[in-house]
Amino acid sequence: MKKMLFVPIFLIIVMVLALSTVFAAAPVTIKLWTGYPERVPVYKAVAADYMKENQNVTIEISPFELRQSEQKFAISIPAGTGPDLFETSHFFAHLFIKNAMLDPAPAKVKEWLDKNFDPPYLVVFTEADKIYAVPSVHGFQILYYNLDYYKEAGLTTPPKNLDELMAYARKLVKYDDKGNLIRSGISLRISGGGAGVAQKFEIFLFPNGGSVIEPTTPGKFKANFANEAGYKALNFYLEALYKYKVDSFNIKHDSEAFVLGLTAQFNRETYVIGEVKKLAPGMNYGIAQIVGGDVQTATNLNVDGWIVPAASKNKDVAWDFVMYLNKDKYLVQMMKEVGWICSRKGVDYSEVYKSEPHFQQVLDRPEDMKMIPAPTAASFTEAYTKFSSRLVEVFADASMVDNKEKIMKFLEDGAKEVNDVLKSNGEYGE
Amino acid sequence: MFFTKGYNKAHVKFAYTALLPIFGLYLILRCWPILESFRLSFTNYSIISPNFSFVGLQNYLKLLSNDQDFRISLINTMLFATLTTIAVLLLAFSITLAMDRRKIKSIGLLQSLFFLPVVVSVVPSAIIWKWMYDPQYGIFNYFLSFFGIGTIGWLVDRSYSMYSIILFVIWKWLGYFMVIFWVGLKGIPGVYIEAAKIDGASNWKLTRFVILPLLKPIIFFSLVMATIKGFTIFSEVYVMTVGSQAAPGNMVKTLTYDIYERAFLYFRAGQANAEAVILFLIVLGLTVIQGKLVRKGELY
Amino acid sequence: MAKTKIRCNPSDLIINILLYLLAAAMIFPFIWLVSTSLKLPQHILSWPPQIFPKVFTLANYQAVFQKVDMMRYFYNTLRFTLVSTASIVSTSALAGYVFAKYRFPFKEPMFLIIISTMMIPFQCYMVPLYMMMVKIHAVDTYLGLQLPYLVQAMGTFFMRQNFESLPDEYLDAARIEGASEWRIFFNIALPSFRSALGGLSIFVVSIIWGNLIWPLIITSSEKNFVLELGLVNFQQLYTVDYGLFTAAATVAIIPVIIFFIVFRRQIMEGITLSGIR
Repeated sequence: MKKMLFVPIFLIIVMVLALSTVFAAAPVTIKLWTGYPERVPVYKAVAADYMKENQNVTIEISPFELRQSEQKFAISIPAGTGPDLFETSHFFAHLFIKNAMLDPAPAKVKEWLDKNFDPPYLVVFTEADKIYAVPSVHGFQILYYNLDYYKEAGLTTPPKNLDELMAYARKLVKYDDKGNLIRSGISLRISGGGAGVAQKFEIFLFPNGGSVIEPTTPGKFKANFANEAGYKALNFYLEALYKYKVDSFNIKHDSEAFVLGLTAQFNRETYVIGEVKKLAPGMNYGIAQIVGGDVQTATNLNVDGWIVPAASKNKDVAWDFVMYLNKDKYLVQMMKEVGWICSRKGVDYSEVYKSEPHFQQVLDRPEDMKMIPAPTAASFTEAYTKFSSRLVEVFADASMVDNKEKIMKFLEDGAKEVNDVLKSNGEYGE
Repeated sequence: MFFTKGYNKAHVKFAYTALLPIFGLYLILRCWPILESFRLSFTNYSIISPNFSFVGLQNYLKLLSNDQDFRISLINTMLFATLTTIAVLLLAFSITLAMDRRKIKSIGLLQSLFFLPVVVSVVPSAIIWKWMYDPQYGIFNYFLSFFGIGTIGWLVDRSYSMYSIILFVIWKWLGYFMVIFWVGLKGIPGVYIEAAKIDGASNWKLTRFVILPLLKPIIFFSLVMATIKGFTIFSEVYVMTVGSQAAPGNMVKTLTYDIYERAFLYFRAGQANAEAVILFLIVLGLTVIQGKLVRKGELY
Repeated sequence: MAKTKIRCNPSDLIINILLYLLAAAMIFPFIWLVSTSLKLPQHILSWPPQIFPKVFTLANYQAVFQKVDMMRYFYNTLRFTLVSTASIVSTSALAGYVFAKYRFPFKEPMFLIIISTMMIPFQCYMVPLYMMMVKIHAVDTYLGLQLPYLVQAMGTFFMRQNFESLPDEYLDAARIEGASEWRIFFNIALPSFRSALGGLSIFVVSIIWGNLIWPLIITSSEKNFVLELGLVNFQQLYTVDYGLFTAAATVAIIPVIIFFIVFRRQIMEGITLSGIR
């Protein structure tokens, strides 16, 4: 009798498998992937409007967590099963530009781009005079500081350079009577996997003209931190942890810490404005540009953009949709509801400034402030990730404070490792 | 057929009829992709480009010569797998034995409670544990504060990160091995237990001379599974090292994480596959050793 | 095994207490998960930590069902899980039985091959597997999702180990009485190992239900997503939407818990008549 059970079970399995239908596609279906699920509500609104105006088009939006979106995209593109549109960072896009997997923007799109975007946002997606993406949002770091804590410490204006930043941190740090750190003077990225540690460290290299990787000749790069800038930056971290004890491993970090009042200052991108609004709406905080130094005042720049795989069957519609996406009202919605700043120029954000004046402060950049884009090297992720691991190890070493010899040795070893990675990808150049 | 000499023909026919379709599925769905990966380990395949070429043993040599990441990952993985395996198996076995032997109130409820962590998927559990390990808001530090101990960065502080993750993993896997041992205990024919009891065996003797030998197949299974899981762990570690309050990369990097990093972050899939092959050989070796140990002195 | 203790003795009591304490520790994280999902945003990150929120809210759960097509994800996951479980348990039972109780040429190598497939992490061979699916046009389809999960080496290994304790005498006795091999499998082998089959089912259910990597790779349309995939997308909003995320996580795991509770007896309790199975 039991045998009779086996047969129907298998039949059901077979039937279910066989009935997996291929969904009938509308005349044109645009598949859109993004690694930023938080932006999807805006995109869905855009898609709804677009589909109303273009009845024969269906837009399918699929959100993925960032890393997974990249993983998926990387696997699907060579197989030809990728999306029609993918939103990703400019350095990830370059991997595919270099491998000729993307479709360059058609002439009329290029014209529209030149009219509507400033060069820095377009350059990062350009290779051999062809542009391969429509920029979406861009991120750059700014300094967040807690106004109540500033007031408490008698500080009125934000710091202007690294020395002031540390001096402020020393005034702002707070310990409880048992000696536990309960408020860090500055919250540094000293742990975590991936490339984040190096990317945040780079901000401290900029004031003195350093960076993790710098472009030399077109398509070539080299490490740029085994120098005075590197020393100053690394020593800043070490002094913060061990000499002045304004930060430590035993306290929360980053935006979570800021929102909870566990830190007085930290650097991060503009989306934190949205987070603070949600989690700590009454918080009194200020925004300043990243501190500068003797050589330059600069922050980083990551530009996200919409790329179209060469294998896409609906390229024209895809490009059309992306241009449509850049209508003023959607860009304003993106800033207002999600907290990211879009790249198109000439958009009036005053409506957002009314409810969230911090955004205006963010966009108020001094003329001579530089925005240094993340390098478009294929080695980018590997170099930054490896350097991050090294940094995390050295941050744990208290004996390195003020020790110029040891620090320089560390930086030189690190630079060699980064240069080796560049060399292995044929991207090293003086 | 000539090679069935010495076998019971009817049995062989049944065995093949039943097994071959299933084995075929394994061949297609597992063996072929694995062999393909093996082939790719001798190339400089990058996933993102359809162009790649044969590079011989280069990937293997690179890994085995002076690759810092591989070395660290290997050491971490061995440490991790050993500690986790021993802890989980010992705990699972003792608890299951206790539950079986003693009169336990509402044993069903108790079993369900232990099994719950297995059932909760990795991502939410890791989020919760990260939170419990939080320096400021976490439960662990909250308890410690009662004893006057200061805040500890369970994940971020290098001296603790590996152990914090091990604790998480033990929590996650305990119920799984408990079910395995429980099912195994239930599978021992009652006759043997009764006979031993009639002969006046004490609990300890019962365990040592009746249960343990009869549980050998299950113990072997658990040992192998724990080893494999320990060496091939990924998601649990991955989620714990993501984000700004996370564990420092190198301290807890395992081989599978390193493989993932090489394949999908650095796009050196050829190298990643070579590393996977090395991992496979290690696990295979351990399994074979364990098999010999378990069977030693047995008439099998 | 029959327990014939009538009186409750002190060491039993201690063991009971210890076990329950341990169990409480085991499920504490889960309690934390659920309680967070019921809190308002401003209470989530509060100190000292409140285990039971003073102010309850179901807003997070409402939002979960509003923001995402929960029912769709649910259906996809349910289908995937049920079919996988049926297929894996049946193939594992049969294969495990054959490996345990029969002698035939190439038995050892075949078994070793199957076990070896477990020793390689899935992500190592998922790209070639994906390419296979591309060739048969199964990308972003249910077929593509399901195919790799028709068999599971762990299952075969597990069932073999369990079947090994089935005494050969039982089989021979049945053979003498003229039963066919298939009959023996269905009427003697399987029923004796209900417990093991149940155990395997619950393992497979929890693995497949929470499976992330393969659904991530093979599906791309939101309408084909499984619960775990939807959950990870929520997670990206981590520092902001703890409440939402924990609510989604709770919804995602409840079915498996229910499954376990309902089938717990079958899994954890076997037939225990001495001498007879």
